[in-house]
Amino acid sequence: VSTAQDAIAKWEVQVRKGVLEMVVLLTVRAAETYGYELITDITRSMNFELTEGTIYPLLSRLHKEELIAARWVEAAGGVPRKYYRITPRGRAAIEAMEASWTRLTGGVQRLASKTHAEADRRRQASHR
Amino acid sequence: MSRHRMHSDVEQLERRPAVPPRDQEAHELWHTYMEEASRVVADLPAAEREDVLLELASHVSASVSADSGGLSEADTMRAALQRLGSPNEFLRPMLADSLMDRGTANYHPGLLAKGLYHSLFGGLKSFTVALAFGLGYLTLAIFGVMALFKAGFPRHIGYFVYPNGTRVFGITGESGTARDILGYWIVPIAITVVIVLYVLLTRGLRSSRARRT
Repeated sequence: VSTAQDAIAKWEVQVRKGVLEMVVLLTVRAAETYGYELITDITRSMNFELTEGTIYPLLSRLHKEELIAARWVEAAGGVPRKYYRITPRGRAAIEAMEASWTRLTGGVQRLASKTHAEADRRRQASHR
Repeated sequence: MSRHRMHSDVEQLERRPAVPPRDQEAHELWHTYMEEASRVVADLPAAEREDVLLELASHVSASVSADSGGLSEADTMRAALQRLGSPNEFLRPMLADSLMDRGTANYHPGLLAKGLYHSLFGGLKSFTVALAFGLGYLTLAIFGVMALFKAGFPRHIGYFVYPNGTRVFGITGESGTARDILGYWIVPIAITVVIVLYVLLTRGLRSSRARRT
Protein backbone atom coordinates (compact mmCIF):
# COMPACT_ATOMS: atom_id res chain seq x y z
CA VAL A 1 0.00 0.00 0.00
CA SER A 2 1.54 3.23 -1.15
CA THR A 3 1.07 6.09 1.31
CA ALA A 4 1.61 8.72 -1.38
CA GLN A 5 -1.30 7.23 -3.33
CA ASP A 6 -3.40 7.18 -0.15
CA ALA A 7 -2.62 10.82 0.47
CA ILE A 8 -3.66 11.76 -3.06
CA ALA A 9 -6.85 9.72 -2.79
CA LYS A 10 -7.72 11.50 0.48
CA TRP A 11 -6.99 14.86 -1.08
CA GLU A 12 -9.14 14.06 -4.12
CA VAL A 13 -12.08 13.14 -1.88
CA GLN A 14 -11.78 16.52 -0.14
CA VAL A 15 -11.54 18.45 -3.41
CA ARG A 16 -14.55 16.64 -4.87
CA LYS A 17 -16.59 17.25 -1.75
CA GLY A 18 -15.69 20.91 -2.05
CA VAL A 19 -16.80 21.30 -5.67
CA LEU A 20 -19.88 19.06 -5.45
CA GLU A 21 -22.17 22.00 -4.66
CA MET A 22 -20.91 23.92 -7.70
CA VAL A 23 -21.21 20.83 -9.92
CA VAL A 24 -24.80 20.25 -8.76
CA LEU A 25 -25.78 23.88 -9.44
CA LEU A 26 -24.13 23.79 -12.88
CA THR A 27 -25.99 20.59 -13.78
CA VAL A 28 -29.34 21.88 -12.52
CA ARG A 29 -28.81 25.16 -14.38
CA ALA A 30 -28.35 23.27 -17.64
CA ALA A 31 -31.70 21.49 -17.35
CA GLU A 32 -34.45 20.68 -14.86
CA THR A 33 -33.54 17.28 -13.46
CA TYR A 34 -34.32 14.74 -10.72
CA GLY A 35 -32.01 13.15 -8.13
CA TYR A 36 -31.10 9.92 -9.89
CA GLU A 37 -30.51 11.59 -13.27
CA LEU A 38 -28.47 14.33 -11.61
CA ILE A 39 -26.21 11.74 -9.96
CA THR A 40 -25.67 9.73 -13.15
CA ASP A 41 -24.93 12.98 -15.05
CA ILE A 42 -22.34 14.02 -12.47
CA THR A 43 -20.67 10.62 -12.11
CA ARG A 44 -20.52 10.22 -15.91
CA SER A 45 -19.28 13.67 -16.88
CA MET A 46 -16.92 14.16 -13.95
CA ASN A 47 -15.71 10.59 -13.49
CA PHE A 48 -16.83 10.92 -9.85
CA GLU A 49 -17.24 8.05 -7.43
CA LEU A 50 -20.09 9.10 -5.19
CA THR A 51 -22.22 7.55 -2.47
CA GLU A 52 -25.44 8.43 -4.24
CA GLY A 53 -27.33 9.32 -1.07
CA THR A 54 -24.99 12.20 -0.20
CA ILE A 55 -26.61 14.28 -2.94
CA TYR A 56 -29.95 14.49 -1.06
CA PRO A 57 -28.88 16.46 2.04
CA LEU A 58 -27.09 18.81 -0.38
CA LEU A 59 -30.19 19.24 -2.58
CA SER A 60 -32.27 19.81 0.55
CA ARG A 61 -29.91 22.56 1.74
CA LEU A 62 -29.76 24.26 -1.68
CA HIS A 63 -33.56 24.12 -1.74
CA LYS A 64 -33.79 25.70 1.72
CA GLU A 65 -31.39 28.43 0.63
CA GLU A 66 -33.66 28.98 -2.40
CA LEU A 67 -30.87 28.42 -4.89
CA ILE A 68 -32.95 25.67 -6.49
CA ALA A 69 -36.70 25.03 -6.61
CA ALA A 70 -38.43 21.65 -6.65
CA ARG A 71 -41.67 20.11 -7.88
CA TRP A 72 -43.09 16.61 -7.86
CA VAL A 73 -44.01 15.20 -11.25
CA GLU A 74 -46.31 12.19 -11.35
CA ALA A 75 -45.15 9.63 -13.89
CA ALA A 76 -47.81 7.62 -15.68
CA GLY A 77 -47.79 4.19 -14.06
CA GLY A 78 -44.49 4.91 -12.35
CA VAL A 79 -43.09 6.42 -9.18
CA PRO A 80 -43.30 10.25 -8.99
CA ARG A 81 -40.06 12.14 -9.47
CA LYS A 82 -38.91 15.27 -7.68
CA TYR A 83 -37.52 17.66 -10.29
CA TYR A 84 -35.13 20.47 -9.39
CA ARG A 85 -34.57 23.67 -11.35
CA ILE A 86 -32.36 26.69 -10.83
CA THR A 87 -33.84 29.88 -9.29
CA PRO A 88 -32.74 33.46 -10.12
CA ARG A 89 -30.92 33.43 -6.81
CA GLY A 90 -29.21 30.16 -7.74
CA ARG A 91 -28.23 31.59 -11.11
CA ALA A 92 -26.57 34.57 -9.40
CA ALA A 93 -24.84 32.21 -6.94
CA ILE A 94 -23.44 29.96 -9.67
CA GLU A 95 -22.16 32.97 -11.64
CA ALA A 96 -20.33 34.18 -8.53
CA MET A 97 -18.98 30.66 -8.00
CA GLU A 98 -17.71 30.49 -11.58
CA ALA A 99 -15.86 33.80 -11.15
CA SER A 100 -14.35 32.63 -7.90
CA TRP A 101 -13.43 29.27 -9.46
CA THR A 102 -11.62 31.01 -12.34
CA ARG A 103 -9.65 33.14 -9.88
CA LEU A 104 -8.78 30.09 -7.78
CA THR A 105 -7.66 27.83 -10.62
CA GLY A 106 -5.80 30.74 -12.30
CA GLY A 107 -3.98 31.42 -9.04
CA VAL A 108 -3.03 27.77 -8.60
CA GLN A 109 -1.82 27.58 -12.24
CA ARG A 110 0.32 30.70 -11.85
CA LEU A 111 1.79 29.40 -8.59
CA ALA A 112 2.53 26.01 -10.15
CA SER A 113 4.35 27.45 -13.17
CA LYS A 114 6.25 29.96 -11.01
CA THR A 115 7.48 27.28 -8.60
CA HIS A 116 8.33 25.02 -11.58
CA ALA A 117 10.47 27.76 -13.10
CA GLU A 118 12.23 28.41 -9.77
CA ALA A 119 12.95 24.71 -9.25
CA ASP A 120 14.40 24.49 -12.79
CA ARG A 121 16.63 27.51 -12.20
CA ARG A 122 17.92 26.06 -8.95
CA ARG A 123 18.65 22.72 -10.60
CA GLN A 124 20.59 24.42 -13.40
CA ALA A 125 22.52 26.56 -10.89
CA SER A 126 23.58 23.47 -8.91
CA HIS A 127 24.80 21.78 -12.11
CA ARG A 128 27.20 24.62 -12.92
CA MET B 1 -42.04 8.96 17.99
CA SER B 2 -44.20 5.91 18.46
CA ARG B 3 -43.32 2.76 16.59
CA HIS B 4 -46.77 2.93 15.08
CA ARG B 5 -46.01 6.21 13.31
CA MET B 6 -42.65 4.96 12.05
CA HIS B 7 -44.35 1.98 10.48
CA SER B 8 -47.06 4.07 8.91
CA ASP B 9 -44.50 6.10 6.92
CA VAL B 10 -43.31 3.03 5.06
CA GLU B 11 -46.84 1.62 4.93
CA GLN B 12 -47.97 4.81 3.22
CA LEU B 13 -45.24 4.31 0.63
CA GLU B 14 -46.26 0.70 0.16
CA ARG B 15 -49.79 1.78 -0.71
CA ARG B 16 -48.62 4.06 -3.55
CA PRO B 17 -48.93 2.45 -6.96
CA ALA B 18 -45.66 1.23 -8.53
CA VAL B 19 -43.57 2.19 -5.48
CA PRO B 20 -42.91 -1.15 -3.74
CA PRO B 21 -41.01 -3.73 -5.82
CA ARG B 22 -43.05 -6.74 -6.93
CA ASP B 23 -40.46 -9.48 -6.46
CA GLN B 24 -40.71 -10.78 -2.89
CA GLU B 25 -37.01 -10.90 -2.04
CA ALA B 26 -36.40 -7.47 -3.58
CA HIS B 27 -39.40 -6.18 -1.65
CA GLU B 28 -37.98 -7.44 1.64
CA LEU B 29 -34.64 -5.70 0.99
CA TRP B 30 -36.45 -2.52 0.00
CA HIS B 31 -38.69 -2.67 3.07
CA THR B 32 -35.77 -3.11 5.51
CA TYR B 33 -33.94 -0.21 3.87
CA MET B 34 -36.95 2.13 3.92
CA GLU B 35 -37.66 1.21 7.55
CA GLU B 36 -34.10 2.17 8.45
CA ALA B 37 -34.42 5.45 6.55
CA SER B 38 -37.74 6.22 8.23
CA ARG B 39 -36.17 5.63 11.66
CA VAL B 40 -33.37 8.08 10.82
CA VAL B 41 -35.79 10.84 9.76
CA ALA B 42 -38.34 10.11 12.51
CA ASP B 43 -37.66 13.51 14.13
CA LEU B 44 -38.41 15.52 10.98
CA PRO B 45 -41.84 17.16 10.57
CA ALA B 46 -44.31 14.81 8.84
CA ALA B 47 -44.31 16.61 5.48
CA GLU B 48 -40.50 16.67 5.23
CA ARG B 49 -40.30 13.05 6.32
CA GLU B 50 -42.73 11.83 3.68
CA ASP B 51 -40.94 13.93 1.07
CA VAL B 52 -37.53 12.45 1.87
CA LEU B 53 -38.83 8.87 1.91
CA LEU B 54 -40.73 9.22 -1.35
CA GLU B 55 -37.66 10.76 -2.99
CA LEU B 56 -35.53 7.82 -1.82
CA ALA B 57 -38.15 5.36 -3.12
CA SER B 58 -38.20 7.24 -6.41
CA HIS B 59 -34.41 7.09 -6.62
CA VAL B 60 -34.35 3.34 -5.92
CA SER B 61 -37.02 2.72 -8.56
CA ALA B 62 -35.09 4.73 -11.19
CA SER B 63 -31.81 3.10 -10.20
CA VAL B 64 -33.25 -0.42 -10.42
CA SER B 65 -34.88 0.13 -13.81
CA ALA B 66 -31.69 1.68 -15.24
CA ASP B 67 -29.66 -1.36 -14.18
CA SER B 68 -30.48 -4.15 -16.65
CA GLY B 69 -27.38 -6.23 -16.17
CA GLY B 70 -29.19 -9.56 -16.32
CA LEU B 71 -29.11 -9.99 -12.54
CA SER B 72 -32.04 -11.22 -10.47
CA GLU B 73 -34.42 -8.55 -9.18
CA ALA B 74 -33.14 -9.07 -5.65
CA ASP B 75 -29.50 -8.64 -6.69
CA THR B 76 -30.34 -5.55 -8.73
CA MET B 77 -32.12 -4.13 -5.67
CA ARG B 78 -29.19 -5.01 -3.42
CA ALA B 79 -26.76 -3.22 -5.76
CA ALA B 80 -29.01 -0.16 -6.06
CA LEU B 81 -29.35 0.15 -2.27
CA GLN B 82 -25.60 -0.25 -1.86
CA ARG B 83 -24.89 2.53 -4.37
CA LEU B 84 -27.34 4.75 -2.53
CA GLY B 85 -25.52 4.14 0.78
CA SER B 86 -26.54 3.74 4.41
CA PRO B 87 -29.37 6.15 5.31
CA ASN B 88 -27.99 6.34 8.81
CA GLU B 89 -24.88 7.99 7.33
CA PHE B 90 -26.06 10.15 4.46
CA LEU B 91 -29.34 11.37 5.99
CA ARG B 92 -27.81 12.52 9.29
CA PRO B 93 -26.60 15.91 8.02
CA MET B 94 -30.14 16.65 6.79
CA LEU B 95 -31.59 15.64 10.13
CA ALA B 96 -29.03 17.69 12.09
CA ASP B 97 -29.74 20.74 9.88
CA SER B 98 -33.48 20.53 10.34
CA LEU B 99 -33.27 19.98 14.11
CA MET B 100 -30.85 22.89 14.58
CA ASP B 101 -32.99 25.18 12.38
CA ARG B 102 -36.13 24.44 14.35
CA GLY B 103 -34.31 24.34 17.70
CA THR B 104 -32.68 27.76 17.27
CA ALA B 105 -35.85 29.28 15.81
CA ASN B 106 -38.04 28.21 18.75
CA TYR B 107 -35.48 28.13 21.60
CA HIS B 108 -36.41 24.45 21.89
CA PRO B 109 -33.81 22.70 24.12
CA GLY B 110 -34.86 19.18 23.11
CA LEU B 111 -34.48 19.82 19.37
CA LEU B 112 -31.18 21.67 19.93
CA ALA B 113 -29.76 18.82 22.00
CA LYS B 114 -30.76 16.26 19.34
CA GLY B 115 -29.40 18.48 16.57
CA LEU B 116 -26.07 18.90 18.33
CA TYR B 117 -25.93 15.19 19.01
CA HIS B 118 -26.48 14.34 15.33
CA SER B 119 -24.05 16.94 14.02
CA LEU B 120 -21.31 15.79 16.40
CA PHE B 121 -21.75 12.03 16.26
CA GLY B 122 -23.28 11.63 12.82
CA GLY B 123 -21.49 14.25 10.79
CA LEU B 124 -18.12 13.37 12.24
CA LYS B 125 -17.58 9.77 13.11
CA SER B 126 -14.02 10.79 13.91
CA PHE B 127 -15.33 13.02 16.73
CA THR B 128 -16.43 9.98 18.73
CA VAL B 129 -13.09 8.29 18.10
CA ALA B 130 -11.19 11.44 19.11
CA LEU B 131 -13.28 11.77 22.28
CA ALA B 132 -12.63 8.13 23.30
CA PHE B 133 -8.88 8.36 22.68
CA GLY B 134 -8.74 11.79 24.34
CA LEU B 135 -10.24 10.29 27.51
CA GLY B 136 -7.79 7.39 27.29
CA TYR B 137 -4.78 9.69 27.10
CA LEU B 138 -6.22 11.80 29.96
CA THR B 139 -6.36 8.67 32.16
CA LEU B 140 -2.76 7.97 31.22
CA ALA B 141 -1.78 11.52 32.19
CA ILE B 142 -3.38 11.08 35.63
CA PHE B 143 -1.24 7.98 36.27
CA GLY B 144 1.78 9.99 35.10
CA VAL B 145 1.01 12.74 37.59
CA MET B 146 0.67 10.14 40.34
CA ALA B 147 4.10 8.68 39.57
CA LEU B 148 5.76 12.10 39.38
CA PHE B 149 4.28 13.64 42.53
CA LYS B 150 4.08 10.70 44.95
CA ALA B 151 7.42 11.72 46.52
CA GLY B 152 6.29 15.34 47.04
CA PHE B 153 2.75 14.53 48.26
CA PRO B 154 2.92 11.08 49.87
CA ARG B 155 -0.36 11.48 51.83
CA HIS B 156 -2.32 12.70 48.79
CA ILE B 157 -1.38 10.06 46.23
CA GLY B 158 -1.83 6.32 46.72
CA TYR B 159 -4.24 3.53 47.53
CA PHE B 160 -5.76 4.44 50.88
CA VAL B 161 -8.00 2.36 53.13
CA TYR B 162 -9.81 4.30 55.84
CA PRO B 163 -10.65 2.82 59.24
CA ASN B 164 -14.35 2.73 58.22
CA GLY B 165 -13.48 0.57 55.19
CA THR B 166 -13.68 3.27 52.49
CA ARG B 167 -11.09 2.76 49.74
CA VAL B 168 -9.63 5.56 47.63
CA PHE B 169 -7.26 5.08 44.71
CA GLY B 170 -5.52 7.97 42.98
CA ILE B 171 -5.20 11.60 44.00
CA THR B 172 -7.10 12.65 47.12
CA GLY B 173 -7.50 15.77 49.25
CA GLU B 174 -6.51 14.51 52.69
CA SER B 175 -5.96 10.91 53.65
CA GLY B 176 -5.77 11.58 57.44
CA THR B 177 -5.80 8.31 59.35
CA ALA B 178 -6.13 6.12 56.23
CA ARG B 179 -3.57 3.38 55.65
CA ASP B 180 -1.40 3.76 52.52
CA ILE B 181 -1.50 0.20 51.17
CA LEU B 182 0.99 0.46 48.32
CA GLY B 183 3.38 3.10 49.68
CA TYR B 184 6.06 3.96 47.12
CA TRP B 185 5.22 0.83 45.11
CA ILE B 186 2.60 3.03 43.49
CA VAL B 187 5.36 4.77 41.50
CA PRO B 188 6.51 1.75 39.45
CA ILE B 189 2.89 0.54 39.16
CA ALA B 190 1.75 3.91 37.78
CA ILE B 191 4.73 4.07 35.41
CA THR B 192 3.89 0.57 34.10
CA VAL B 193 0.26 1.58 33.57
CA VAL B 194 1.41 4.70 31.69
CA ILE B 195 3.66 2.70 29.37
CA VAL B 196 1.11 -0.06 28.71
CA LEU B 197 -1.76 2.42 28.13
CA TYR B 198 0.43 4.56 25.90
CA VAL B 199 1.36 1.64 23.66
CA LEU B 200 -2.19 0.22 23.55
CA LEU B 201 -3.87 3.57 22.87
CA THR B 202 -1.37 4.57 20.21
CA ARG B 203 -1.67 1.21 18.45
CA GLY B 204 -5.47 1.50 18.57
CA LEU B 205 -5.31 5.03 17.21
CA ARG B 206 -2.93 3.99 14.42
CA SER B 207 -5.20 1.15 13.26
CA SER B 208 -8.33 3.34 13.49
CA ARG B 209 -6.60 5.93 11.26
CA ALA B 210 -5.53 3.23 8.80
CA ARG B 211 -9.12 1.96 8.56
CA ARG B 212 -10.39 5.41 7.65
CA THR B 213 -8.46 5.65 4.39
